Amino acid sequence: MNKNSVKNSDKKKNKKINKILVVDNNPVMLEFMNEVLSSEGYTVQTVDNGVEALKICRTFTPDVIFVDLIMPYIDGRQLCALLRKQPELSESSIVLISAIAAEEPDFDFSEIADAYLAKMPFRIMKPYVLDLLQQFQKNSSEISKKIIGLDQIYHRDITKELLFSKQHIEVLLSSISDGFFELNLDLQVIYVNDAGASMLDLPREKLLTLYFPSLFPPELANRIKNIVHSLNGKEFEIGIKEPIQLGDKHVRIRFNAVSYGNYRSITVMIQDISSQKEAERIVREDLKEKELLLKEVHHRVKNNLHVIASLLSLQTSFIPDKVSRKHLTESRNRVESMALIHEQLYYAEDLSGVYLDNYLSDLIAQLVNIYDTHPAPVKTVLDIPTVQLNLSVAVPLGLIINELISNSLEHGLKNKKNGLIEISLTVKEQHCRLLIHDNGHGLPEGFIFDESESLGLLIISNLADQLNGSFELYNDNGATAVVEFSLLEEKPKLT
Amino acid sequence: MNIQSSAAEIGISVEAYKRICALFIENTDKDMLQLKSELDMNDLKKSAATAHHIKGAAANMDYEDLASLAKKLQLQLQTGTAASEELSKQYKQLFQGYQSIKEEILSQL
Repeated sequence: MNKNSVKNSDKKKNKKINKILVVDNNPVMLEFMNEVLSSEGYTVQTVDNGVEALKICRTFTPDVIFVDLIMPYIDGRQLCALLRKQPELSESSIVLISAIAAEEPDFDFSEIADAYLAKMPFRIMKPYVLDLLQQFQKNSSEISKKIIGLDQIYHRDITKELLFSKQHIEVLLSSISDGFFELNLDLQVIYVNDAGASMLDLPREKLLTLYFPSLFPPELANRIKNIVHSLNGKEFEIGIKEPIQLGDKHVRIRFNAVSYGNYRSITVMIQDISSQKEAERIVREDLKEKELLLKEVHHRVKNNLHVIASLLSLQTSFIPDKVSRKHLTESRNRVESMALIHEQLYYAEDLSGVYLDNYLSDLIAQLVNIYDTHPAPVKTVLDIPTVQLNLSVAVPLGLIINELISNSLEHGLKNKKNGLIEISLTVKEQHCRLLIHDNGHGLPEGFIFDESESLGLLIISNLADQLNGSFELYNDNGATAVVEFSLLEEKPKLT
Repeated sequence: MNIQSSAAEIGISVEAYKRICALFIENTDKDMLQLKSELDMNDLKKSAATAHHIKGAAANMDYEDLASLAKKLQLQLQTGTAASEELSKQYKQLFQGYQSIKEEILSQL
């Protein structure tokens, strides 16, 4: 026995024993104890579980408490430990009673109880009970520190396994970091593990028997009441999208209806996701940082491409040969069309791709400006849905469109009054069809695409292949080009 | 089993002992039904716990034969070695043992 226990025992000397509490889940045992003790003039209260015992001890201060070792919800060991922590019960003597005494004859109960009485046949039990009470009244230091009445019960060792199973579950529940509660149908706490008590910042002995919703702020309490009353045998979780604030913690709460035979209860699991939320915040910040970095990369690529385009433009002005100048201008346009994509991405909120409608508007305006169709201005009509394309599609498609529109402006609509370029894109189930039509002079007579030596057409053909798509060019009151490709197909990475 | 002599032996009134006997029957009736249901569902763990409960109640009342039958069944259930026919047989023995005690008690209440 430790020092505290000795101190308590000393205080109990010559104490008047009057009020007795018996806690046992066996109603026959309760009736027996009630009869034996009442007939001797003691004031007796009996309850069949630990939760009720804790509840009754708020209004009834027993001089002696008999506690059965194996009970549902809170077993005898736990109950004794919880009773020991209650200051108002510091004068109460605790007696463990159990039939499993024979299986653990050397069980050291001194930390949790003042005596341990083996549960024996009623025929011989009464004298042991009364003798023990007399000893408490007379002189507690004479009370046996060993199990009393052990010689009256048969040795056996088959309960250990059942007891181990219960303790095993108890250990598992104590080891988890989630708060675990069991509630009866009146929503009173009948079980709580260590983590649960810690989360609500209340000791277990205080939490047990409390009305569960009363442990939360009014709004959440009402929510919990509604959820529990509408559980109807199912489970329900709150705090998935928006975590519940519980003190300084963010939590999720899961409710589950338990049903076994006639037994009904509700389990509540409170999961602390504060660290998860913190990790999400860090990832979000990290992502934001990466996006800024990526934007900066697009910005620099765009600037570098513009420098290249400017150098080509400068070079063009120094070249007297018309054909060479034309080739350099075409090269410059190709570089500009790529720069435009990086510019769009630099200004975009979403870095996953460029919006084709915005891109084409800018690209066409840029080309019309370069080719300067004055005094025969070309009208452009765009019918492009708001579709977002990633870089691996946008770059080759941008280059194809650049070639086709350059051709129209440079050749098809050359000296043509009321020139018109129509550009449309249809997207159906991820299948894209791009159509570019001009009302110009059309393709030269006898034009055969496969036999053409045009660099522009070669580029278009290769880029269409890169998109795993097809390309078609024909005359139809002007020139018409059709590019078809699928957004579902894996596109090769840009190199 | 004689209620009057048992009450005297325990040291309580006959009426009080009759109440205890009535409670024993009421609770053991429930336990026997529960045990049957758990055995039918082949839930060895729960049926072992219920057999354990019956054994404890019988031992308190000093019905040694009944306690031994419950203990035997509990052991078989915990080791999980018995075939279902054997478990049924033992349950039947336990049930019959309980019924004869129950009849004896009821005849004296």
